[in-house]
Amino acid sequence: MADANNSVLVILPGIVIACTALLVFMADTFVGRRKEILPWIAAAGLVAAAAVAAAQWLDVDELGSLWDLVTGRGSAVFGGREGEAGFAGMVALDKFAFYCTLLFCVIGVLTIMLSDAYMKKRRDAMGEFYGLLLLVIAGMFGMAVSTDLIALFIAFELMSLPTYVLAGFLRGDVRSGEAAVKYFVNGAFSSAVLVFGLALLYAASGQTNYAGIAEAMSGLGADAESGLTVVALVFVAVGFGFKIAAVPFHGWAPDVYEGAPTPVTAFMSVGIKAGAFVGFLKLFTIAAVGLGDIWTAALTVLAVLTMVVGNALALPQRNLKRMLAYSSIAHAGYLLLGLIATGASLDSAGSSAVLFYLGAYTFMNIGAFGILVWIRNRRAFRYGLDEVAGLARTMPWTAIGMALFMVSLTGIPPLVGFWGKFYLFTAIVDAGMTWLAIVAVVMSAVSAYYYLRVVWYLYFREAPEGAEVVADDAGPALGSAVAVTLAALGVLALGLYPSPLISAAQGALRVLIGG
Amino acid sequence: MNPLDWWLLLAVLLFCIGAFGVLARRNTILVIMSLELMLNAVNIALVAVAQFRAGSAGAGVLFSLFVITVAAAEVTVGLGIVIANYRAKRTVQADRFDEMKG
Repeated sequence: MADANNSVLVILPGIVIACTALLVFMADTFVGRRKEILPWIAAAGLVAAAAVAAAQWLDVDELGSLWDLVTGRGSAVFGGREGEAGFAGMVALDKFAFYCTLLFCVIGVLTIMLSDAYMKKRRDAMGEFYGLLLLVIAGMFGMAVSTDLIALFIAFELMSLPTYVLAGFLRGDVRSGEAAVKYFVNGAFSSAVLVFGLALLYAASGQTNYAGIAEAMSGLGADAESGLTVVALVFVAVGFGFKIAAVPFHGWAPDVYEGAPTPVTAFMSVGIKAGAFVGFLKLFTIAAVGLGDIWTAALTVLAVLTMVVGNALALPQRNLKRMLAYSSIAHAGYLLLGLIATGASLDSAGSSAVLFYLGAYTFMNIGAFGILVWIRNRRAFRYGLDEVAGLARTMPWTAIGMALFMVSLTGIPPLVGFWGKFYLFTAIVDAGMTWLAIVAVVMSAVSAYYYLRVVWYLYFREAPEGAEVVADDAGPALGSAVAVTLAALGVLALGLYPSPLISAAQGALRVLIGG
Repeated sequence: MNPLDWWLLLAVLLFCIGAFGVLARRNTILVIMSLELMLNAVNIALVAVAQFRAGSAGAGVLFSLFVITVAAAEVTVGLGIVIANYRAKRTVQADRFDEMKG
């Protein structure tokens, strides 16, 4: 078992993020009027955490399979030192966690830049905003490293609680407040369901450690698929389904996404979803690997419903923020295919497709929301579809960006969204569930209607009256523009040359499903 | 049935009462109380498993301590949100939060 120093080493990126959050909270009281420094501190903390994770990744001489790490049979060697599962097996450092940490830091930095336009008008609240955002990212990091039900639960809550506050960040705004109440009630309910599922899993196996659960379950043989186990896994799947807004647990998502501040919505639709997916990927593929039949069946139902209903509900939306909310539900459905493929075939292709898709989705969805933030920064804008009509003439570059993100979200080559869907659908076909891939492809075609309709409005509709650019009081928000530009470059570059991200995603998974 | 099953049954019943409260109640304060009930049902299950199931002593008790702590944090955040909303809308009734639909 690891000694204390190695335990700290294992969660070092998370410690950096959490300490930066505290630093932001404290600095908030000392900087007086110079609040502009706070986002820089927050971004610097994330970059530092990413650097730590990258250094650890490069420093890994030899990495046993995660399975061996968790069970204590193997160890990762960091530049001569051993660093393996820490805190009595509660967390384990592996390439999976490195990949996720880097992804989360990218999401965090993009969100911080994106919120520039937003926070300029709310300078007093900057400290709370960036501090809470960092705490959420620390929770997401916890989801990626935890290999124990207790650690998973704590990380899940650390990820959730600050998000409730961020959703209701506009104090006095009834919509934002309503979003916070709805998100809190739904989120807390889903946490309770999840933790009850975890408690039942503990009751069924007598273990809280993932490896211990898997061993206990395989020891039970046929008895493992008892009613208790089924109920436990269904409860866990329901709690997870709430967090990723899978149908039929999606009821909160459109209202929360519409009411929350737009940068927070962008973050929730990408970051929280990524955190939930990586946490549950680990839980399902390590702890419940022998029970693949049960949770694959549960998730298949969720995936079909989510893809069909999410896309169908997005069709009539004329509010862009709400349309993106429903489309984000549909994307959760596509992502579930990767988990199902892993559960059905015990092959890591599905899981690495999930990791790749989370990276691709980060760029296109943060970009799409970023365009909305940017338009609102430049003129009066209430997220209506009619309001972006003729945008190609008034704001040509913005229109190009928007079209790029919409085409990528549809999944048309050569943009990154295509590769994301390609790997997910290939994985599910290889797992022998071709019918599910057909459903997914058909629903992608349906999604083309509402995504490409936006492009149609941008380029082939006349602009409404009063749509000309007017300068914002606070001036143009360069951070938001940079965030959108980076996202657009990411979508383009990874679309034309996806192999680095793909090999990273595959390398991250090679250790996960080894045993 | 062995003792553990009875305790788990109690936990399930308590959990269902809490879940019903969350789904049926319109007053957000009562919703938060029902959430607490659900988490306490989890605690009963965890402690019972730690007590009665072989080979799992410490983890369940430890887990329940964390659940208690997290529940306290959750109520704090929840009540804060409810109070902020009460200042804006002068109500804690959940069905009055109906600005957004569709």
